[in-house]
Amino acid sequence: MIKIIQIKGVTKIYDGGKKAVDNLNMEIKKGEIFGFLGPNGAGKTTTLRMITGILAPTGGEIYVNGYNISTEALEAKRSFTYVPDHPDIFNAISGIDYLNFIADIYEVPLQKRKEKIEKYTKDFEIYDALTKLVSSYSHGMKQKLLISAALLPEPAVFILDEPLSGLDPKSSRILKEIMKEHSKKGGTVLFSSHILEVVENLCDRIGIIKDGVLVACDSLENLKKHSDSSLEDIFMELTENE
Amino acid sequence: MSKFIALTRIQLKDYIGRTTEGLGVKNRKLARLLLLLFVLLIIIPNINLSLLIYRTLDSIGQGHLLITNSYINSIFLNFFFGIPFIVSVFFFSRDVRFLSALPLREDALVLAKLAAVYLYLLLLSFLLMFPGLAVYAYNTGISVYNVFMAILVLLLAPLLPMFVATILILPFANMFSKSRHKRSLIIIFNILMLFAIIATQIFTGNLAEDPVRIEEVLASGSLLELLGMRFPPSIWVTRIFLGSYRALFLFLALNFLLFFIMKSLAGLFFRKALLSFSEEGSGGRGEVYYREKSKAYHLLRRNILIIIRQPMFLLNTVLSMLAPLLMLCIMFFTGEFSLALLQSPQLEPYLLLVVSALLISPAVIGNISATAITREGQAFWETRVLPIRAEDNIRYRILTTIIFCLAGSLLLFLITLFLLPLTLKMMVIAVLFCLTTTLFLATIDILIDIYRPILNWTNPTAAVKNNLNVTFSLLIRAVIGLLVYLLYKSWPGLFTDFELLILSGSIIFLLLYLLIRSYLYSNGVKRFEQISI
Repeated sequence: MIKIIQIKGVTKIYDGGKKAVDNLNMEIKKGEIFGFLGPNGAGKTTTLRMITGILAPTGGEIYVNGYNISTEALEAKRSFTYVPDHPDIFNAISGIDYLNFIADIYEVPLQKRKEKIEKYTKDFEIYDALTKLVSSYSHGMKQKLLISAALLPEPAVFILDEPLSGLDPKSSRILKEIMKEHSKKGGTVLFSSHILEVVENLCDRIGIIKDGVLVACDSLENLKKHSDSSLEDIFMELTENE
Repeated sequence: MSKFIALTRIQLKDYIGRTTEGLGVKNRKLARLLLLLFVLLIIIPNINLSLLIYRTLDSIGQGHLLITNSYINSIFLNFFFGIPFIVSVFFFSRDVRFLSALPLREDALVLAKLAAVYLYLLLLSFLLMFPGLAVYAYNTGISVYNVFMAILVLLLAPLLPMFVATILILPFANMFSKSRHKRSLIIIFNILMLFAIIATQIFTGNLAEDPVRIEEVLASGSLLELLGMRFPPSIWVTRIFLGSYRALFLFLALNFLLFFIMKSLAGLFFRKALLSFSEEGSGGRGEVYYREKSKAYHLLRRNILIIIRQPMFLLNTVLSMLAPLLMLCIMFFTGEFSLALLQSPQLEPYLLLVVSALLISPAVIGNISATAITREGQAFWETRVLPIRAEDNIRYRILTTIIFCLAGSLLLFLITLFLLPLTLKMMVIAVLFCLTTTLFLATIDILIDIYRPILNWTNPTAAVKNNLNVTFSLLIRAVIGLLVYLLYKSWPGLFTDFELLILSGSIIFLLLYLLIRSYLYSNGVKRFEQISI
């Protein structure tokens, strides 16, 4: 299977000396849904930010769709879209301005963008708010706008950081369906979450990170091979302090 | 009370933390050194001015009026500097909604927020009043009483303008919050503020130079009484230093009275102004549309909108563009300049210099590029993630600066066409000089922000004002000015032919631009790609 994301010996040390990610090695295959788990402060967001080029790794290399995110950033960035945990976007434009902006940046043709914008924003029930300023949106609405925008270019990799936080149950369900559909079409989904049930039901493989170190990375079936425990038990066992 | 203290403490810590962060200097010793340098840069010329004023006033036996003058200046500038700060702290601060939900009395919340304003104005009061008090003490003798009174007056000086400004903002804020044009209203209000500040400086300068004006006022009676009738606290402060306990009592009583008025109005301020201002307009505009535009259009629009849609950024930009125009207006208003003077034959040889200086002033004063990345704040993650070349990202930020600066230059150019008898040749040379200077400054400034972006600001003022990038940018201009001055001192002959001088300047700036550009699009781009949030 084609490896769409390759993380090779990646380390991130912040200015204060804190090692957020320690020699991380991980591969994500084309077409799979990969869930990234870990306690608060384990290094999930840092890892996702390094994969997307927001943060530069202190050491190691990251490849997205075969392109090095540090040296071939533009090519790598054309392969994915990203939804951050905090929907901090430029507030002073309308929702539709933002969607057209993203569509133009990823060169989405007019007809296709119209179809997709209508589909996703109507599914997420924000279509009627598209002419309003983003600054007037709630946290959840911003999240939905960002997800809709990230889906416009049909990215090879769809990366989401805690995507379900802030979403209402209906929207959460729609997003989960979108993830599955994206995977079926051959796209890859990488997301971090605290909600173990979602990861358990949705993901083909799971990575568990603790204190910046990847402590497990496998399919749920393989993780469960050695015990009959639930994912919650496995997670607790792997992440609890000795 | 403990809740109020806790809240005040956290507000002050937050303010100090943000200010330090805004300086962007991690080395504490360096930060202190820079602060000291800043204080000295303001205090030294102020001491010089105070000495001049004291000598002038002392020559007519009214040396104590230096204290009156210092106090009035401090009150006036505190009042006008306080207004945007109060507006920023209350209406554009991200913590308002969070604080509103805390189980705190409304007056405690308002007063705790004012504590940060007080700290800022206290520093300003010190910078403005200390030189006057020191010069007065030096000339009349230092006593324990005077030192205590000086400390007391300095500590109380910010309260009066701060409370008055806050009380005055109340109805205006209510109006701003309901207005569709609240951004415009804030800008107009602040331009008036700048007008007042410059007028004060000109008035003070005139006072120092022209004792005749004072004697004219003196002829109408006692100057002290006259000032006292117009603004009694200024005279109470002066009399405190002359040993009047009655004046001390009145001064303290006024401050306490204002404090209690403020405290009783705090609830009203909180509900009517603060909360209503926090309500975002959610009315839709236009229709859902689908249009293809170029990346260039989007990047330029995004950078322009970041400035236009944020009142503090817009204010900063507009003031930079309009400051020279305001200066001109004020100088006409105060009689420093006149149309006849501008069109007099004596000025003719210097016309090219005058128009060139005017046209480049928006680029010199407005250092928009120095905060081009910082302004984006937390939304910068998009810039990092979207497939846009770093070169394009930088290019359109520079272009945004150039658009704003040239818009200001164009306005000034149109005005000078009416005011000055310019020839076509002069216009062409001045425009060329303006273009190359603007290009150079807009390009070199962005390098500062590439190396020192501050993306984690919570208050827009921190991004564009309390930011050391702006100081570095001004430093570049100061160095260029110094070099020109040294050149003039070394080879005065070079400065006889102004046409040649301005043309040479244009070529030098063009060459410097090309040099900086080549560095920017190689090393600068690499650095830009490393910016993390």
